[in-house]
Amino acid sequence: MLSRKSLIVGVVALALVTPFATPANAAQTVVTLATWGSSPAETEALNDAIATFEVRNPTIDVQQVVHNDHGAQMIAKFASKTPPDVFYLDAGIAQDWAAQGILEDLTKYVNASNFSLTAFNKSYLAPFKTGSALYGLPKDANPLVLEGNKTLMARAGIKTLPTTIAQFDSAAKLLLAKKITPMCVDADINRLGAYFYSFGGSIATGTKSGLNSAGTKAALTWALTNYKTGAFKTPAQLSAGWAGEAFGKELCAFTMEGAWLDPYLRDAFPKVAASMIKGQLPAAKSAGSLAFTAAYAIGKDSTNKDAAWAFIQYMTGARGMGVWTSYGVAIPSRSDVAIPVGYEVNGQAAKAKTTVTTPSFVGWNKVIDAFNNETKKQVQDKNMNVAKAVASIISKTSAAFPK
Amino acid sequence: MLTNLKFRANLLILGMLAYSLFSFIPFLWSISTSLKKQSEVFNDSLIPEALNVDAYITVFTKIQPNFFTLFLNSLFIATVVVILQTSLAAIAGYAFARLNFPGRDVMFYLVLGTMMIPDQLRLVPIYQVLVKLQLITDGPMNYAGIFLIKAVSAASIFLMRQYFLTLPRELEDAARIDGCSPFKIFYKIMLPNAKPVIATVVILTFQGNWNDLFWPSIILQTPNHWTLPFGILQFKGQFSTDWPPIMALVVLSTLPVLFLYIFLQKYIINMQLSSSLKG
Amino acid sequence: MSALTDFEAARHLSEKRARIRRESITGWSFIAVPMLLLLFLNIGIFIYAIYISSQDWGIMGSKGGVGFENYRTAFADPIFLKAVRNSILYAAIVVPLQTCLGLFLALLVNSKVRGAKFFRATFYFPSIASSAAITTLFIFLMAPDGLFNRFLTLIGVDVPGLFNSGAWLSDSRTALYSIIGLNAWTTSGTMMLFYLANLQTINESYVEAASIDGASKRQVFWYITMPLLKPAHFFVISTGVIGAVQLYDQAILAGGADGSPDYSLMTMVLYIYNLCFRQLQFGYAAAIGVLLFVIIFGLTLMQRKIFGSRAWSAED
Repeated sequence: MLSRKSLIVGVVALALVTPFATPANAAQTVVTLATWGSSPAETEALNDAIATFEVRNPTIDVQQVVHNDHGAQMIAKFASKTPPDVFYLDAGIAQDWAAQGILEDLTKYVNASNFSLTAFNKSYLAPFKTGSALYGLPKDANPLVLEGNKTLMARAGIKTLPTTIAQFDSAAKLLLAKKITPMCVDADINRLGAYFYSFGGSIATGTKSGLNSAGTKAALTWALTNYKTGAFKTPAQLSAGWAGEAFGKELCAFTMEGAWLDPYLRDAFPKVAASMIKGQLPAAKSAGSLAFTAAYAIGKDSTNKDAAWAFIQYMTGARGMGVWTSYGVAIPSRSDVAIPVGYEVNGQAAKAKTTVTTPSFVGWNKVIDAFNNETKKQVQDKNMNVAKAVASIISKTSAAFPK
Repeated sequence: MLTNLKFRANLLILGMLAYSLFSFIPFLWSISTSLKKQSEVFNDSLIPEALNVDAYITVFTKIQPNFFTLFLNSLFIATVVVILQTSLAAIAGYAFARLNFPGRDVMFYLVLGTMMIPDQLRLVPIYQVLVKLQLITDGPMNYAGIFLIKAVSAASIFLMRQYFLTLPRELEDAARIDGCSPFKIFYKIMLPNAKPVIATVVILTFQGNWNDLFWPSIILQTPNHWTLPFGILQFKGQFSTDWPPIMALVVLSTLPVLFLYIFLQKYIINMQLSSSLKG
Repeated sequence: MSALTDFEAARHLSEKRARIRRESITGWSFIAVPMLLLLFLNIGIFIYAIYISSQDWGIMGSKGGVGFENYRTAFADPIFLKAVRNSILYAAIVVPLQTCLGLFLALLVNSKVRGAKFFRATFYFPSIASSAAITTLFIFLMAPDGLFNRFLTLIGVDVPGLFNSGAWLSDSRTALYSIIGLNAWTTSGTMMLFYLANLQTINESYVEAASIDGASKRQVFWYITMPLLKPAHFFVISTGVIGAVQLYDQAILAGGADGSPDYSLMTMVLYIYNLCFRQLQFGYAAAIGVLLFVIIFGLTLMQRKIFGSRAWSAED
């Protein structure tokens, strides 16, 4: 016969133990997701997408970690063999990281899940492929487009966005006559490079410099001449942190940015957001642009690779990508996801004939640094000799390419 | 007129006031920006159109995880580091200055040498060490990672040593002849006379840690451990900077350091050496 | 009789030896904990870095030994050479500036001038704010249409006509010097503190005695105060140089990780960061770290020669 005392003890013991006895199906796999810091719009979009993922995958809990210096912190984690399960992989450094042997080849997961890659725009997959290995799936795309401020354009009597280089030049003349800065664009290869292709040249072919071509020379000459005449101004010259800020403060009539500009303007400069129109970059020999992309990737030493793959499959699948891009921070990298309303121009830019993704090869960052340092130096000189400047930029940048 | 002493004295005070105002302008600017609306920030007017406390409300309500956690973490970490660093530096500084032991000068050179190794170079290896020691964790041992890195400061040891070198030997001689142990000499005689340098080390260490982002951003793993500088990051988007809340946070962060400095002032100045030296 | 004296002498000697041994043990025990920590977290890692500099080192470790190749590359690398030039030029100008300013402020505040307490707080103010906050503010104030240029326009300077069009921080010709200005000013408060602490130990009676003997204020300053401040001088200048050569925060905030434009803001530490995290060349970065150490060590030894080895041990 159980004494009353032992009954009470038994009940108390049970009450203490019960919270720790979780039912078997509540076992959660925690997937750590590491991203870089971004804007409120992007944060909202990502949280929303993650939420829809977790609803469909109740056993997976996604824990987000925001890095303030994504590159440095990821490398520290790689080196100590404790990388997060999933993380953002920037196209510009993807090949460098892949060459270090720290990324997981996703091919076997793709095959095992029968995940079709045909819907992806091929050029957005390219930066993440080495040989037959695939190290990341592009989560979105962002080609550069031309944005114009209708109010400022009207002041100079310009009715439509220029579509050719010649039209841009005449529009610039009209704007300069009214003391309005035509275009704010940074002396950065990730902006000016967009014109190399439309002039018939290139930034790089494979890992070799494409800067010595006549097309690139022509593009650079045009760009530097613009800086000299004041048709182009860098954000620093307009006291802005970046071109989008200058555009929002109405310090320039045009700029060239991607889809990230739209939510930024809506938040910080709503008046300008309302009077903005978008079009393709002014075309030289052909229309074209430069497109940016980033992927989700898994580390070789990550712990929960299967759950991580489930997450990637969703976020780069039609549904997940749809949620992410619906906030208008980027356009889809898949053709079976609808382009969000208001971004048709961005969608067209992605399809243009000479639109390319930014180059990606081991040592690309060194080339970027060389071009930017030399170009900014040339541009700040009031007495710049354009031909000499172009030659210097081409030689210094080409020297930075991998041998 | 220029030889008139009083005139020169007043001119000096005027100059010092001007310089003080100049030194104060950044802080005034921060206060002013924190009371503006985002759209006014670039108007370059020192006085905001209307006193707007929205930025402060944002800081107290929207910061992750919440303002008091950041503040308490900063306070906790800075206090522990100050205690660790000051005690270790004082003891080591005294030893280097006044004790004779073999290898003393070589060890001191080594200490100096560590100041010549940049943090950026140590980043990855230190992270690897901390991972091996299991201090990269979501639990409370995470703080130990920071304490480990910051416990020893070569600059503090150096400063203490230089200071102890200037104290007259007569101070200890009496105690030494009496047969006091070195530790007792340190505790009973050197420390009380070291108030200026201790106050200096305390204020510098506290301030350095209060504003530090480099090591905390690498070591601290969860928002529950974040310190105040992480708060500033939250208003710095990839593109746009939300100035008023950043400035509000800067103002709020600067106040404790300022108070500590004012409080410690009386220890830095006008400490009379022990009366046994006079006459 | 002599036997007793010999015995006493021997006892004194062994007592003395015991005292010396005790002092040695105490000395070592006092420095034990700091030295151990420094050994693990600094010296050990530096020795590891020397090893890494002899390798082609990736994220996951060595990809093969390369001997002195990394060092040969460094001496032929125009970016590295420019970084050395930038770091040393910066230190050569900023250290004298902040030292003189700090000493001047400390003397002012230590004197019996009215309101010394108030000025002690305000003079220290520039050093209080976090470097990130002040640098961001500085970038804002020094922008082409920022307050500084407005002020210049007010006093009649034709800002757009200047060679850099008023772009102080983004023009390669003035960026580094602008940062020198900023840092000399913000560090002066800290240097003031160091001098203040040392000024307290200067016995008033020395100064009084000299004045009574007829020495002018200037003579008192140069022949009594300045020499007595040697420990502070040495500390302020050597830590000033060590810190200045390792400039990083303001460089990356103002110029970005590529030190642009024209590598005018590329300092040695920024280059180390760039090589580690943008170019993933840890072996080369380690070699530069070693070279940086050698340079700073060399500069410190030079100071020792200039100040004389007595400043090191400063036995007055």
